[in-house]
Amino acid sequence: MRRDVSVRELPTGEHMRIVKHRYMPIGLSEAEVSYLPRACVVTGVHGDELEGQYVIYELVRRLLAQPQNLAGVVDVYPAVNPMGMGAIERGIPQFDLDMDRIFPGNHGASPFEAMAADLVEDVRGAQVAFDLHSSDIYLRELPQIRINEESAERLLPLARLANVDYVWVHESAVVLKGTFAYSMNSLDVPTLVVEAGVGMRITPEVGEQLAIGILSVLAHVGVWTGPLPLVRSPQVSTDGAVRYLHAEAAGMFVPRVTFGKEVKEGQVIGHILDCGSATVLQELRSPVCGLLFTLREYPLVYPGNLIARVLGGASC
Amino acid sequence: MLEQSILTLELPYRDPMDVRAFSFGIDASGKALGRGGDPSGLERALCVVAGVRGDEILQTLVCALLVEQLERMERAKGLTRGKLIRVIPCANPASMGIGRRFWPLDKTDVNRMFPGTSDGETTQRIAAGLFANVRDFRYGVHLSSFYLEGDFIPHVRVMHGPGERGNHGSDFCLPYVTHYDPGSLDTTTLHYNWRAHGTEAYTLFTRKTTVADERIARDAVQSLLRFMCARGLTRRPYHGGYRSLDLAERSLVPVHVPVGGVCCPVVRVGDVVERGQLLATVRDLLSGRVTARVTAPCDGVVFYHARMPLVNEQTLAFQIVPDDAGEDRGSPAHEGRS
Repeated sequence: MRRDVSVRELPTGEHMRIVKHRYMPIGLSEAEVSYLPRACVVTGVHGDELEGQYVIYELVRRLLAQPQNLAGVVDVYPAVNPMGMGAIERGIPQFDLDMDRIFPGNHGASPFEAMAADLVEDVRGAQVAFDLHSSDIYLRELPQIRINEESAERLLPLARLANVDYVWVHESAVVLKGTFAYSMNSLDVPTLVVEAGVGMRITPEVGEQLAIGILSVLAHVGVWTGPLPLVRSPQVSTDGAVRYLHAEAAGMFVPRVTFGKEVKEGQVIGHILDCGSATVLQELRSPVCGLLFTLREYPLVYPGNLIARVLGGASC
Repeated sequence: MLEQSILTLELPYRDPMDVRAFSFGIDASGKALGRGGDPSGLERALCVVAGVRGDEILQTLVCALLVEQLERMERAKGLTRGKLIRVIPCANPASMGIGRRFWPLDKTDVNRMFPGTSDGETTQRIAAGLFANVRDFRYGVHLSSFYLEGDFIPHVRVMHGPGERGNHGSDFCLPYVTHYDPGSLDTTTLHYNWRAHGTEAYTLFTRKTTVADERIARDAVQSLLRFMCARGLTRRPYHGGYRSLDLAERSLVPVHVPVGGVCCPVVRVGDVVERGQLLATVRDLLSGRVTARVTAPCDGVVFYHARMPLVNEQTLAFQIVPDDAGEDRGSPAHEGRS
């Protein structure tokens, strides 16, 4: 069942819509399912992050294949920033602010802030929610869940079930209070932020991995009763275990490692090149032995651009 | 005048970005910085920053004209002895040079990166480099722009919260001084971080942003000179201006359009309007039919006017200062953003 969660008219007569697809047990009415547990899967807050599209495709395909195993409601929101998705832009066209900084929204402000508020109202009351992000177009990420330390106690048990490679418990930052996840967690909806893959692309194996992870969490909250494959056990860490590599030169980055694998301390991660003069401007080496869970995807770099993140502590 | 490079950054396929600062002052021996005066003993009195975003052209022009004026004043010994004044007209020349509001590569906003970090992402490094050069001034003025396109009555924004030491925004003698509580998004602005580090900070909004209108720019320069005069930084008086009205941003009355279409305003910023007065009509883009008449919800003055010919349903088209504004400087109902 498809319905509009929020609608605003554009100058051309077109309507900007946040659409929801609802999946619920066979034979039950809307009124009857209102007492059942509900899970929400949100994606497309950033319009250039497409990995979530394939995750929800794989999720919904599995739900439809075994509808008898649906014991609760699954609401899927494929594109909460529909104009950004259509224009393949991270932000909302015509609007300076990042949509993931304007939650919980405001009905008295711009149409976009009002639509954010409509979304929050719609998700409110769910037993669990997922906010599916890709990385941006600049970095590739291993499938991971990021948890604000304020919510760690509640979210970590759910995150461990979600079939991700890594769970990052990060420090609280005031600026993150405008995120969808922070708002929903504040409203007592346990909300997991998933980062995976790379912007503007779909990585099918990532979609399949995360769809299974979501089903696993749905089973935990009583929404899904179907069979599940074994989920992987993620590495869990706090900020202190993560080491960053930044560009110190402007040029073209070329990786020299395989993404998503363990790297040794001192191992060359990649080079920043001045191609015209065939010069290596910077050689980047891993500062620790550990899991290379973030790697630069976009070759052009300015000084300061993030090149890689390594989760230290591996025994290599 | 002392012109310095305060921040350089290598750019791929371009000349390095070079942020220039202009410092003015008269040292204890009466020597101007431009004539070999010693800047080391001067009190860091005032820092004025513009062009943090690449489309803030009018703001940069204001600073450029201020540099010109201060150079004359320094030469004529018109500045108070022992006070350092620093002006950074364009904090983000890499974006301004190619006509982009935000950072050319990742589209991040430098005014969402303060106080920055010297080992972080590019715009975090820029913010850190800038902040190192603008912090520890007694007064700070950021010429900034709104997150929605539009025209304003010139005004000064003052934040409640950390480092609050009374309000002297009226010393700019602009029509309005607006007060707001910072939201989470505001904590990474220059204004917030100035305040958090002890600087008496103001954000100055000019009528427009993306134009080079010298008349508007000179009005803003005059307001800065009035402020400097009130703070004892100049030796001669600067007259004129407005008796400012202090008001909470939440007391501004928003006027949204009820439908999408072509918005044809019939009032401008600064107009006095009466409740029920027509502010704009909205027409269907294709048929020309009038689909909505936008009217003033109260008696007041048009404070903000969106500069967008095509509007979405619920676009904020106007903000009105109601006649009874000024009685409340408290927390806003929603965040204003710079």
